Amino acid sequence: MIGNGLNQPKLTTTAIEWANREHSLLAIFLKDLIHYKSSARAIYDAHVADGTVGNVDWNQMVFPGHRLSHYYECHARVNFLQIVLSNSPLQLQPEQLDAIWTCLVQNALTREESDQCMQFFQSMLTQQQEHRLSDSTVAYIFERLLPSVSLDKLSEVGFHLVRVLLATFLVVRCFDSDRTCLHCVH
Amino acid sequence: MNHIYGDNLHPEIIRRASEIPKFLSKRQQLTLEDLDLMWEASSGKHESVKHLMQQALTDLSGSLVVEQAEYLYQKLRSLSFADWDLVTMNLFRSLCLRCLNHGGTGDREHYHGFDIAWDLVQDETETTETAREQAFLFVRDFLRWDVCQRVREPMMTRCCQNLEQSKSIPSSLRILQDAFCTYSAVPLLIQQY
Repeated sequence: MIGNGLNQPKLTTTAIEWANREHSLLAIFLKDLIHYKSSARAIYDAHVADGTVGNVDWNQMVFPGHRLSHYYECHARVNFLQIVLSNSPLQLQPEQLDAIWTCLVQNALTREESDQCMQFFQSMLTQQQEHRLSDSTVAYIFERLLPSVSLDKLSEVGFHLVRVLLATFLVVRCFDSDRTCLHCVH
Repeated sequence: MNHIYGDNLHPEIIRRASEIPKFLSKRQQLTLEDLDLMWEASSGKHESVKHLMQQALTDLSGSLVVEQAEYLYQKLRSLSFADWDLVTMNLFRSLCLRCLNHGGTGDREHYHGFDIAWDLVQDETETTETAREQAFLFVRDFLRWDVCQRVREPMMTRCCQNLEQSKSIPSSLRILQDAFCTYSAVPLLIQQY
């Protein structure tokens, strides 16, 4: 049951935490994302192999067993993840960040798909303090994930993410947890 | 009733006669046979006649006793989802509201409106986009109605089960998101609908 009765407010946060505790929400969400992207990617790669990849509008493509276009299938997932993280204390772990990045950026079928993901990270960097990505997460994205994207393939949204990440990363690296400048201390 | 909704059925008569079944209902004179007659008048007819009859039943639903509303609900359930449109959804919604209003905090069968709405939003269901969108709106309201609050956890569980099986993901995520948000919102009083 969600909440402890009358004394505990039944808030969105409590409901999300309940879903994660009872149903491993984040884990099953990521499992589905990986499943969806691997089946979509297999079809995409088959078109690459027979030289017909350019004949298909991949944003509008409706994959077998789905009702919506690829763009909206991705949009629904990214939007949901943002709602969950913005309304709860749940934080993404490094392996979960890897999975999201690999699915939506490295293996993106379209630029719009990777833009959705980059837009998501950008929003998570500029959230209110309590829901913002942790310092270690920012460092992980900056040092581990971002280098996997070649700069010449970055869209305008991607460049904006780099700028926001860079600014946040500098703050993470230059200030301690109390936001005291490490250089001034020395 | 036979003269209005029987063999002489005419669109103009349907439009002008809607107060008659309501009057009968208020006098407790409306029978299940009358409802059968009205239902039959809506099936297998031209789209415009079907809509007029479904609209007449929607107008009547507020005057029905709960058993009659459930009787019509079961008939509605027998329609193929492929034929559901805005008018059908309006009838569905008003019948559910009638049952919920009179079922109070009662048995689970009074929540059956949710099951149909759930089926309508599944990817494999063949229906119109209008019906699907109306079903989403119904579920969103349903989760906020005071008498339906206890259905939220089983419903979120259904969404998570879909997520585990990679089924109807955009729909499940949308409902899950709506369900989460209801926990920070003030419940809506069903009596006001």
